[in-house]
Amino acid sequence: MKLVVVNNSIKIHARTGTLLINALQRKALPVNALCAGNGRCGSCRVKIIGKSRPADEIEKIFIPHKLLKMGYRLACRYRIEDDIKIQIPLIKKRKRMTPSDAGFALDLGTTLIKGAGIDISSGRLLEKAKTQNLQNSFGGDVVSRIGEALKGNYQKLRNLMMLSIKNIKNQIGIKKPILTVVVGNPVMLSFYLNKPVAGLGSYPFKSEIKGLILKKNPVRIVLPIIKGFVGSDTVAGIVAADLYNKKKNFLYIDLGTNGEVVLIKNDSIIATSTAAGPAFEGVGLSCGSPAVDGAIDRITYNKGFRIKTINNKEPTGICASGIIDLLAVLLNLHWLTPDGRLLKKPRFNNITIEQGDVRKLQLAIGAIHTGIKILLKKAKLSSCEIDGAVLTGEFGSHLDPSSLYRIGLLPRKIKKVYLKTDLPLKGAIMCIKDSRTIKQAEEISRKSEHLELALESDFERIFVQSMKFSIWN
Amino acid sequence: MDLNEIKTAVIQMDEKSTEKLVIEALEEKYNPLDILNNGLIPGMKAVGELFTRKEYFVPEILLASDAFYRGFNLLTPYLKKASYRKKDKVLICVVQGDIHDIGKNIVKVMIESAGFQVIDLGRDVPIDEIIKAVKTAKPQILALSSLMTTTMLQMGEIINRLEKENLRKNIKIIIGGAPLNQEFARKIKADGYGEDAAGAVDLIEKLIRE
Repeated sequence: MKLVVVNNSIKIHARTGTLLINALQRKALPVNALCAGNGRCGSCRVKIIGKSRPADEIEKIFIPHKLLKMGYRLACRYRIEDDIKIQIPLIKKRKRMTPSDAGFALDLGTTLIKGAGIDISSGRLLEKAKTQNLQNSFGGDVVSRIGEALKGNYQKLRNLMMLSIKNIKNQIGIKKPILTVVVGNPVMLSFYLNKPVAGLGSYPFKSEIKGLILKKNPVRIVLPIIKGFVGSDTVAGIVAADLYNKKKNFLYIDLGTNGEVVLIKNDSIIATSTAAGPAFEGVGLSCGSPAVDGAIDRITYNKGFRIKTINNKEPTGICASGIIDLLAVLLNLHWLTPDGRLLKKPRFNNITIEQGDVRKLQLAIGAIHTGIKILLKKAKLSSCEIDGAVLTGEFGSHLDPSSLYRIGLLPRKIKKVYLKTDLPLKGAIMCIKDSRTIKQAEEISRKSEHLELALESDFERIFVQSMKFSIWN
Repeated sequence: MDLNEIKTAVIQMDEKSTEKLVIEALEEKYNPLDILNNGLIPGMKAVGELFTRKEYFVPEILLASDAFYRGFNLLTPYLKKASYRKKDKVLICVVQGDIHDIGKNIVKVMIESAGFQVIDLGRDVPIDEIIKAVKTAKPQILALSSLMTTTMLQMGEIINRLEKENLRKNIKIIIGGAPLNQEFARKIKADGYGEDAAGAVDLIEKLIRE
C-alpha cells in the first residue's frame, strides 16, 4: 500500500494492515506519541485526506467530534488498508515529561481518596498518595452523606470532595494531568460529577450515572459503575485482579463500609453490596483503629497473646486484620462462644475488645457471609468450585486466611485467598497505561448482574445463620 | 407436663420441641390461653431480657421467635373466640424506601408475644398506605422503623400528615431503628423512641397507661 504524507510529499510503502504510526516512525517522521502508541493520550492525531474509516471508541474519546468529521484519526489506532494521504499536524516541540503533564488515577473512596500520577510515555508510576475524604465530618458511610445532602448540604459536600481531590493532587505534585481516570462508588462519583444523590438514598437505589463518562479539556474518564451501591471502584478492582473471562470462578470482596461481594463465573458476573458497616475500617469499635502506625495488625496465641503493630509503634488500637485474628484466637480459647458471647476479655496495654464490638463484627461478618452464600446459590456453585477469592480493603498489610476461615468470613474450601490493597486504584492506573483496559471495564460493567440481598426470599434465614462464628465449608 | 418446659423450649430456640410440647399440653387438656400466657409468652419475655443483658443477639431472638410462632400458630384456632389479647392494636411497618426489616420483625414478635394485636404492613410502605391503614384499622399505637438516615426523614412527614388529617390525637407514635435517637423523636414530635426490641414493649405499655 502507498502512504503519502502531504506535509513534505513523502511517499511510504507499507504492508496492508500496518499501523499508521509504525509506518511513520519507520521513516522517523515527527509524529507525537506521548504514550508510545498505546491509545491512551491522543497525541498522535493525524488528518486523513479523502476517505477514512469510521472512528473507533478510543478515537472518539480523544478527538473532538468536529475534528473527527474533518478526518482526524489516531495514528496508533489506524491500520493502513488502502492507499491513503495524510497530513501531520504542526508538531509542538516535544516537552520533557514532568508530573504536570502526566496521567492521573483517582479512587474516590467514602473514607479515603487515593491518587497516583503516571508518566504516560513510560507507564511509570510517578507518585502515589492517599488522603482523608474531607466529607468524613459528615458521617462515615454513604447513606449519612446522602442524608446530609438531602438536608441542603449537597454543595458543601461537593466542595469538600473537590478540595480533597485538590489535596491529593498537591501531594502527588500533579497540576494539570492530560488524562485522568476516576473510579469510586456511585455516591462519591455523583458528588464528583455534580449529579444528584437523592435517588441513592432509598430503595431502589438509583444513581444518575450511566456508562462510561467522558469529560474533555482536559480528558477525564469516569469508569462505569455496576448498579445500586456497586461502583466503578469494584469494576476497576476486578480489572486489576484480572478475574474476568478466565474460565474460572472467583470471588471479589471489598471489605469496606459497603462490603461489595462479586462472583465472577468466567464471563458472567453477579454483584451485590452488603451493609457491612465501617467495622472493617476500624470505625465504630471501642478498640478499633484504621491501618496506621501503631495499629495492632496481627494477633496470635502461643502460651500467651503475641501482638504485632504496624511499624512496631506503641499499640494505639486494633485494625481489621488484627481484629479478625483476635476473634479467631478468642474462639480457639473459648473466650468467645460461636454465638458471639464474650466470656473473657484479653488486654493489650489499655486496649481491649468489648461485647458491643463483637456484636458489630458479627453483623459485619454475617453481612459478607450472607452475600457470598446468596451469590453462590444464584450462580449454582458450591464453595469448593471457587478457584480463588480476592479481598481488598483497608485491613492492613496482611490478613491471615486461617483466621478468615475460623470466623466464618470465607468458606474453607476456597482454594486460594489473595489479599490486595488498593485494587481499585490499580485498576484506574491500568486504564491510563492501556486503553484496552477501559474497554474491559466497560464490558465488566455491562455484563454484571446486580442483586439486592434484602429482597431475596431467604435473606433473613441465611443472615441469621451467617452471624454464627463457625467454620464454613 | 409443666408449662415451664414450653418456656424453656422457646428460650432454647428449639422450634421442634416447642411444637411437640404445645401439642402435648393441648392433649393434656391445658387451657390454650394458659399455654400461651404461662408457656410461650414468658419464654419470649425471657428472650427479650437475655437480649437486653446482651447475652442474646439478633440471631437468637429471631430463632426464638420462630419457636414462639410455631407454638402460637397451633393455639390460634382455639384462641379465636377467647379475648386473649389486650384490646390495644399496634400498626407496625418500615417506611418507604427502606427494605431492611429484620429489626421490625424482632420488635413485632416482642409486641405480639406481649399480647398486643399487631398489624404488620411490611417494608417499603408509602405514606398514603400508612395513613389509609390508620384510618381503617384505628390502631392505638403506630410503630415506625427505619434503618437509614435518608428514609428516617419520612417519619416527620408521616406525623405531619396525621395531624393534617386530624388523626394524630387518637394515636401514639413510636419510632425505632439504628440511625434514630430520643432527640430525633422529640424533634419530629413522636411520642417515644425505642432503643431495642425489649424497650419497645415497655414503651408501648407506658404510653397506653398514660
